[in-house]
Amino acid sequence: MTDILLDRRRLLAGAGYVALSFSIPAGDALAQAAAPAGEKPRLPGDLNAVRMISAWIRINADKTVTLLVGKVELGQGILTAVSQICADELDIDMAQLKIISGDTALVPNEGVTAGSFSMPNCGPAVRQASAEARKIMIDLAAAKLGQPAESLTVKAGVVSGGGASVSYWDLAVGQALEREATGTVKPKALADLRYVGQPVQRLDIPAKMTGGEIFVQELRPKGLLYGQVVRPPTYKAKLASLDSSAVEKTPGVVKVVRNGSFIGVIAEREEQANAAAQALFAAAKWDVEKALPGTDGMQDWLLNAKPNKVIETKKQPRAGGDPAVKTLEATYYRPYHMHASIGTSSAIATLADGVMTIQTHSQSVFETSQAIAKMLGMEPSKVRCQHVQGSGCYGHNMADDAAADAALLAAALPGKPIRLQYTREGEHRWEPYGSAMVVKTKAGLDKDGNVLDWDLTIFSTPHGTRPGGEAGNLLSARYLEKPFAMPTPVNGGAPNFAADRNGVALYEFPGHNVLTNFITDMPLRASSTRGLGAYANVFAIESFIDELATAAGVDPVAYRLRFMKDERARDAITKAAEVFGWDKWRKREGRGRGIGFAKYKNIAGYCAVALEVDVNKRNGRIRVLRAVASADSGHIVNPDGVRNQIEGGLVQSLSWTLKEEVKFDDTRVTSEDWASYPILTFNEIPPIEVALINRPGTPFLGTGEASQGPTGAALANAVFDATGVRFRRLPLTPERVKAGLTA
Amino acid sequence: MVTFKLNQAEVRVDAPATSPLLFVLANDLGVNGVKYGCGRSQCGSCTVLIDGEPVRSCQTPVSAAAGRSVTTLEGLLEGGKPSKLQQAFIDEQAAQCGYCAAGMIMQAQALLDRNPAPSESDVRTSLNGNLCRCGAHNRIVRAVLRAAKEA
Amino acid sequence: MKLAARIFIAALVAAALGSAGFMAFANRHASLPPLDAGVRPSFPQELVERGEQLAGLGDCAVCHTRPGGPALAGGLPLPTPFGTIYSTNITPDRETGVGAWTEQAFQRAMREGVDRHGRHLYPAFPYDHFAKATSEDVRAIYAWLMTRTAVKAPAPQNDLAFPFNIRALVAGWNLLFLDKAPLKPDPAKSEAWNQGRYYVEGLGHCGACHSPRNMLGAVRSDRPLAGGEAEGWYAPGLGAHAGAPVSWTQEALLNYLIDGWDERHGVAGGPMTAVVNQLAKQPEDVVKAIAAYLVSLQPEQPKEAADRAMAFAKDREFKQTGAAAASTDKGEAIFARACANCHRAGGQTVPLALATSLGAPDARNLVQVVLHGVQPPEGAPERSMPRFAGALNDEQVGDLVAFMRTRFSEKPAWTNVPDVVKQTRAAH
Ligand code: FES
Ligand code: FES
Repeated sequence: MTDILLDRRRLLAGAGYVALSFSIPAGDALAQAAAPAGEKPRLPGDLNAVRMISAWIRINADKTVTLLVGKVELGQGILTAVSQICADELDIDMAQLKIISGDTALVPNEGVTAGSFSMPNCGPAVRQASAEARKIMIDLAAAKLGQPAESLTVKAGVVSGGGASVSYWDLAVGQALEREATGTVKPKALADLRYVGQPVQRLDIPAKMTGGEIFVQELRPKGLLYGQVVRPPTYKAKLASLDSSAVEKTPGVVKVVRNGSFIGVIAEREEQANAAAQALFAAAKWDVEKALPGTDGMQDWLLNAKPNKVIETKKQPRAGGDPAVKTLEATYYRPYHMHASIGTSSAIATLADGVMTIQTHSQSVFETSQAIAKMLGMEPSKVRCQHVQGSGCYGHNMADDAAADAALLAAALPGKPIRLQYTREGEHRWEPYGSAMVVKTKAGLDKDGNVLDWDLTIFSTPHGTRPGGEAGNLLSARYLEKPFAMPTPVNGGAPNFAADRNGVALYEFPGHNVLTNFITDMPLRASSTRGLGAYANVFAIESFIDELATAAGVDPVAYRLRFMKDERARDAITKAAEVFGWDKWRKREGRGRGIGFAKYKNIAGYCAVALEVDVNKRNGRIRVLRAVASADSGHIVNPDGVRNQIEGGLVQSLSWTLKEEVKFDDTRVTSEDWASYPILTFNEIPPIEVALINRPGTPFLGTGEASQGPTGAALANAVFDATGVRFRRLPLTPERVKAGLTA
Repeated sequence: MVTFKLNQAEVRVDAPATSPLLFVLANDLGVNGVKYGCGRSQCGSCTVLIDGEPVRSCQTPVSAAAGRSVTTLEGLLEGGKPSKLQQAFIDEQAAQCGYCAAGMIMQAQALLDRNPAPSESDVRTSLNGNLCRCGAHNRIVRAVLRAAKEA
Repeated sequence: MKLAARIFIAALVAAALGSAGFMAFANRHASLPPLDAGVRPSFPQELVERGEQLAGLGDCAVCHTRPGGPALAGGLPLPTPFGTIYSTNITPDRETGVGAWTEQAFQRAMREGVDRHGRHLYPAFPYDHFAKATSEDVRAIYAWLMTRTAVKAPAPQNDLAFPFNIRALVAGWNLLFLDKAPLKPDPAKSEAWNQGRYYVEGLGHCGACHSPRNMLGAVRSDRPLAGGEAEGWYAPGLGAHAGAPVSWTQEALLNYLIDGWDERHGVAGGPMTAVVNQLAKQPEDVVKAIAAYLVSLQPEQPKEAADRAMAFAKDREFKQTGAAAASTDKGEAIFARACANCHRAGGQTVPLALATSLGAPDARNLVQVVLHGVQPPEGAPERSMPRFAGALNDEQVGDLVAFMRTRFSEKPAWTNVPDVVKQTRAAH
């Protein structure tokens, strides 16, 4: 059984390893990304920025290889996938491979693990670095064995030729891998791959099923104390006064930490810390202001807010031609969504010898350690983040806040490791949500119902307020005595976009304009949530195209194919329809079918989803009976991993679309637990079939966020098919559907 | 001081009687196979068995375990190897992040103890109060059915 | 009355019957010839489909399928005050099922409770209700059954105490309690009403659980639908005996019978779960008719009474979530810790003061739910509740239940709660 943490512990303790020295001195990792690549050749993926082979691969004395990556495991099997790649290129067994990820003192800075970028950026880097490492080993072996390099073969790290053999571990002495990759070594041919393309079992799963130590929530260093924080009653409340004397005298309470409006507490036991935090909240007096538009006022708020920026995401006016004979318009709305991780965010921080070490499940260890350093007024090199797995995060949840809060508490009690895990309410009410959005669509049609002009207008608050090295993006930093102001968020640009992610439809229309109203004012705290703007934009685009198909009296699949020129997109749509049995499907009372498609970010995985629903007119309840997804993620490294991602994304999107909406009144968020923010449960989940389209030899395309957009739209389209009523405001709760059907 | 059986072994802990069993197991006894998810009996990630009954340890005071037998994920191991049920979860790769898995397995174990040959709908219904955010549900159902079939 | 006493009296009555009834009727039923081997009867598709629907209404599969077992192959233990009876195999297997039965034999079983060989069936099989079904409907069920997959599965031996293990005694029972007369439609009522009554009294056999039974286990004809029991649960009274704080409307009953819950009454639990899962598959008109009939039996509730009940329910809801309950009432402290996380104002749950179980004459249903949780019906997929059998000991369950009755009902406190807790736990 692989115990990732134990491996790292051993490694960090310096026991039983390594023939090569660190290529990156601890603390210097942050500088790496900035190192200019100069005139050097462009290297694959993140290898271009971090070019030393030894930064990625180390050959250890104990007959193992260590792979170092900046991307981290978020439960999506990324580390398994890159291990497959590495083992293949190096010709070693996967059992001989260890992996360290996301330790700011040890691994290459690959920035944030997000946006389905791990496979596109980390995968090729690992492949190239491994291929080059193998080449170096072969050359060393050739010299040692006195055989031509071409005649040598490698198996499990043992190089053989001419009747003799020598292993990597014998060869890897001194500075062998201490060189930059050249980009000239060719990775393996498809036919020679042993692990890539296979459904290799995930390395992290056995420990998770048997009680191994693998989550950050499970680390319990000696002398551990437990922290908890007290949040204000509302976002902008100020602490007027606090009498903490009673709490300070409570058994088990070690320290109450107050800094401006930030209150935290450290206790001997976790439940004592939680109880003390509650007591402190009750003892505190706050100045509260009423400022929020409320759940039902949000759509109007978005439409009426003054955008900080109006972005022409795409401008392609139609060149001449006849005027449209008919114009259709529609307005779509998605509410705020939570990441709503099952495990609340957690971190352990220890300030010792002037270095703050934080175990965190942050997606952005490098930038978060910088932000925390700024918040604490410490040297960036003195804050070290080590990634340890947490509960699935689906974007920027509170992992970074937990790291920062643990550090704030640890800074107040040097020498002691402080662990903090938020309460459910603390996480539900304070995490940065996926932004509410309004999308308006308008199409001018010719007499055959073909689109001549397509206009899409987006209204959204930000989708990215990750730490990004700025203290002001850490929640608690804004409440300190000397508060850090939150930097004004920016919208992303091409090719990923943010609010306008997937705002440009992949269909080809003669006129095609997309306008983004980027509103930086945020009634509720918002940040990156799986898919960013893509979910709402695809929901709108794929609902609207269905509306146009209906208006034209054309089958929705055929209508889509009219405007889709991208062959792989056509394949994905056709495949989903075919596996679903689109052409054979017969309409029955109360039943409906729907399809939705997107190529994520217009540069990543292709995915089409077709599903069938039953809508109960009496109570408005939608039952999803079955779902089919097609997925083209380029060259598939691990088919089971891709299936898992597509299926998981589909389920999560069904949950968003059917049930989820963050509720808030004029002062505070009222969705504070699973009873007030319900998600989909076992009995509501349909059978799901994933049809993979493999494209061996083509680039890896990310998969983690491919199915959310298409699923939401497919569902709304199926409900329309079943009922004849078009629902444009999410979620499609029974109450809303019932009201819509009787309106 | 509370005494109970943890995975067949007698344990004594010096914790306040009202402390949640979850925190005692995790923090005092170093049990990894219990997870805090909500602390409100809503998600099931803290599920353990007490005398064979599934219990949400976050809302159960440790005093309720006194003199009884508590089983956690670790307690299912058979001679250090994954049990049939655990192995089925591995074989079906029944997780994304896997944070919910411990609770799922314990809840499923309680089901299989009562009903060794559950139908798919039995499995869904009995796991219905256990939440998974990653969408691993269908894999989890397959794993439980697989374990039942192989038993 | 205590179980032992009941059985004793029953035995006496049975013995008395023995001399008169038993001799006269015991051997009256002939064995009917089997269907020719090798011929598989075939039926028009519509008949089979109608049969499927009616079999659903009659819950055939619910009793005739053991947990985890093949559909309709029997083997489900049915505890009765007289011992355990196992349901039989009704798949078309010739040896162990009904494969050799002619339609005539099947009709006779459904209306007279006599199997093909002329042996009496125990009235755990509700032929006293099925007797009210039309022969066309019984024929349709026959058609459906005979076109299912045959499964070889002999029924386990019944486990009945003497003298109840003497099947022939049932003849006496039939003499006393079996009314084979068909239902006469009431011309003064609507067609839907008549239909509803036909379903309720006939195939639906609602009274089998929801009516009180006499010492011989027969439905008491003087108190139809006045509340009964099933598998350790109280089966609440229906119609005039429903006694819900807010009266049932047709819509509410429709929600309850199809979705398995209604916001003013709560979630179906225990044996009712399987019933609503079957009803959910019925054409809506059928359930509407049932609802119309049952609601018609109910006295009108003045609006003020309903408003008052609603206000009471709202008022009694917990406003605070979990938090450490410092209450000196042990039951309240447990409620605050374990229950109020979900059962609270503004949550997704039905206000407890409206729930049927809190207003019931005894604590059985509430104790069942507390111990064993709610495995929701298919129509209410997210209405799960975890089991608390492991988390709470008998005393704690007792405290909790007593507190809940006081807080969420205006009815008097329940008596013998500790016994109910003990029995309910032991029965599982
Ligand atoms: S942590 Fe116990 S049920 Fe959620
Ligand atoms: S696998 Fe992540 S919560 Fe279930």
